[in-house]
Amino acid sequence: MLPMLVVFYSWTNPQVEAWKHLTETVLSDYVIHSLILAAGVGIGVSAIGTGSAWLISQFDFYGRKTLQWLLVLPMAVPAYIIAYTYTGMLDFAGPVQSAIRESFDLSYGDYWFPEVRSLPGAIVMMSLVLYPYVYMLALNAFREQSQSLYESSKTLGISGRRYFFRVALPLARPAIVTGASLAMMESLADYGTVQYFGVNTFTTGIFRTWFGMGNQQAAAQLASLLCTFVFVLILLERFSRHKRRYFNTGTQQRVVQRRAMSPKFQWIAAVLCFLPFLFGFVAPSLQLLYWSISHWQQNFDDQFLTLAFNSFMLAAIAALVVTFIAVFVSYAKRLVVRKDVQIATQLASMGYAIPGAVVAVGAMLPLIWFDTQFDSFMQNLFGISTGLLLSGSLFALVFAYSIRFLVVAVQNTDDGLSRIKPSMDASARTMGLSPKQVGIRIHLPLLRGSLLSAFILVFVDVLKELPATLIMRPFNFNTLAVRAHELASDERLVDAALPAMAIVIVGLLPIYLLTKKMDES
Amino acid sequence: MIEIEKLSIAYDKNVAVKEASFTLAKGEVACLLGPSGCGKSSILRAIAGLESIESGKVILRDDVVSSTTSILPTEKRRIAMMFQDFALFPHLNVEQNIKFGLFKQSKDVQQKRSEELLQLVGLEGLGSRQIHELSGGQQQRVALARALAADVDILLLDEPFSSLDTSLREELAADIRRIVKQQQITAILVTHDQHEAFAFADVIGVIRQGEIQQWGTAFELYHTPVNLWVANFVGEGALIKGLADERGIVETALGCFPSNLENSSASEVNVLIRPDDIVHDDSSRLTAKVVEQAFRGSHIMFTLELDSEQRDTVLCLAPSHHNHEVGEYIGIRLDVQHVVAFA
Repeated sequence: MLPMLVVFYSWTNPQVEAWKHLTETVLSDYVIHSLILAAGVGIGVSAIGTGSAWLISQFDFYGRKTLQWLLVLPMAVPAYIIAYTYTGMLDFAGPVQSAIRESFDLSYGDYWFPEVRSLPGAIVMMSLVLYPYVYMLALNAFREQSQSLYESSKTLGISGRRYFFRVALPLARPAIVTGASLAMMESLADYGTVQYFGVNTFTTGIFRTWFGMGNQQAAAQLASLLCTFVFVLILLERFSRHKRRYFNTGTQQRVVQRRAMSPKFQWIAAVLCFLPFLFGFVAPSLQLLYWSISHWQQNFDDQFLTLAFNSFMLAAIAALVVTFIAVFVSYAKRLVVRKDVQIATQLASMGYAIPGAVVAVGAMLPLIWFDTQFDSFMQNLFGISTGLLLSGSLFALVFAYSIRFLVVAVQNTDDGLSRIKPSMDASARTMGLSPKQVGIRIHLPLLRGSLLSAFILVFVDVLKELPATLIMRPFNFNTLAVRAHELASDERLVDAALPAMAIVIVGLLPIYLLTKKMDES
Repeated sequence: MIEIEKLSIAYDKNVAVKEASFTLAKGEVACLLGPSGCGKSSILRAIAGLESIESGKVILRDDVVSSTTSILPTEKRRIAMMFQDFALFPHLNVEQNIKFGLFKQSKDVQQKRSEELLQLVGLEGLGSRQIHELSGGQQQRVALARALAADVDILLLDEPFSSLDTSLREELAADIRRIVKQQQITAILVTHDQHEAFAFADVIGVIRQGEIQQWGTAFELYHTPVNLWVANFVGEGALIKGLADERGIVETALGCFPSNLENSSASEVNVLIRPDDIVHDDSSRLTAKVVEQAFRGSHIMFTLELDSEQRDTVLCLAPSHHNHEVGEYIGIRLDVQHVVAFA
């Protein structure tokens, strides 16, 4: 919550000059590009996610079972990484255009080829890796729809496409909107892709104002504008979630029976479902793999190992801290039913929706303020300069990560705690266990799984995180994500591949957890 | 109107329905009664075209709609169906649900029809309500209205009352029967609840393990079951031992009675005694020991042990002001002219 207050508070110190400059030059670009980006990604992920979920949930076709979870894998690839790989593949010197030139004997300017590094390019890249949000929620929604809805529609003379548009889609809409708004939040929060593609959006604007113009207040004010956009999305998401509750009447639901298809349509369905996986995961992974192997000896050195070690350490520390806080939050929710506690925990859970750049700006300003105050205080009293005690250290990063990723962990610890019914506590107490013993002998073993998944999810999120790390990292401290970003920005895509691949591989871990959960339910 | 001819249904070689046959005339109301998993729903779903068949035929209005070679899709069969979970569309309101199947008609016709139906099912003025605002009984009424909206003459009901409170069930079953009869609709109800079946249907088919055991009225099922299984499944009762002679007269601990067994070679038989066959009568010389009693409001169901070698037990439904303790001997009298015996 703190960073939000900070960025909005920044308006008390209006930066007239900076804003004059911004409105005259790039502000309209920021607004329009961010809006187009979010809208485009919303449409893209809805189309891919809903389409594949419908096929997977309703029909039997070749490879359906495998595709069902393969379709989730693109989630492991951060948008900025897929952007690097496609740039490598599709830009002028890349294999695709070279092949076209060779086979048709063309040279530069003779033919039209879509420019990857553009706003539409960014929309496609993000849609390819963010559609699993919609896919998973829509899949669940379609599966929950009772078989008798389909059958009664048939007895009423409605089937096929008409059923999809009149019944299935409207019923799944809240789930689809939820998924799409999550994807749109991510697209608004993205920094790596848009920066690399040279698209001016809010996040690139915040960076430019912070580092380029050196105006931290104005950056915070920009951040607050971005927040307003995100708020709209949060409201949208909350609203549709609220609505979803009503969309399940029916008391005894029968599970959807998948329908058979003719061999021809089976192939079509299989190919259609394979495409998002191919473009969202296989192609970029192969490209990364190829680059990594071709320059293995140059890049796999001590420097890389240090880099990986730094990243993993940082991610592990942050994940531990966040999981620890999450346990407190979950227990607070469970033990205290007071309204203000409930509201406070809800507010804390909004951090995930706030873009990393905003969190960074909002967390950095108060830390810098504290550091300067504390420094002058120590100077005056003891003549010691403490320097940037907090804002210049890992503390700042861990602080920002805690704000941003707390909700991920809390969801897991909440889930774990909800499975420990109060009656279990009560029965353990009647058997003579003290509250402390109940904690150790009942809660801890039962919570172990949730704690582990909370830790892993935060760990991977931290590893992938780019904008906040970029702003807040201590001088000369690098992570895999930051290094990949730096190398790619220097047009050294091939060298960026190794750290990028490391991120993708580790990113598969939570996907595995996720698919396991999907199978269980 | 509806004709089923030697219908068999199988799931992966497991036979669910075996050579079932029956015929319903226009306006007739039937029930398929049986324990869960007996195949009754499969028959209904085959009639609706939601299930493919192994062999046999389904004939609706003189047209063969299901055979081993071809299946007419459900949406072309002009049937109405009600489901256990109502299957109402939660994103549409009451009126939109009712109009759902009328998409080919003009707006005016749709409106008129939906108002007619709301009145028919007793939900006038609730057209703009959301589904989740209605009670279970009201939801089922909407489901009926929606099913009947397209003006079809065949209604299939797949356990439509089982998710409702017991008290609501009978009321709704009677209401639906009234409407179905009034509209001259041919209907089939699938249920495992015999009271529901008795209240709803003209004829009942009792099904066990995919085979129709008996097809008849409620009275016939209760008083002249064709086999031991039907006797046990329908109604309450007890079996006592008896000896039959070649004329079909059966001798039991309760006396001698003519039976359904004629020219039978069997001598040792089981005789079905219904609770209403035994009348509690303090003046009777015949007595039996109370071994159990269950209070049922207006009546008490006594389980009595007869004073015979086999220690047969029978049930007796006595008015509830006769209270007798377990272990007491009470006077009973048999009120039957004819008994059903099984070899």
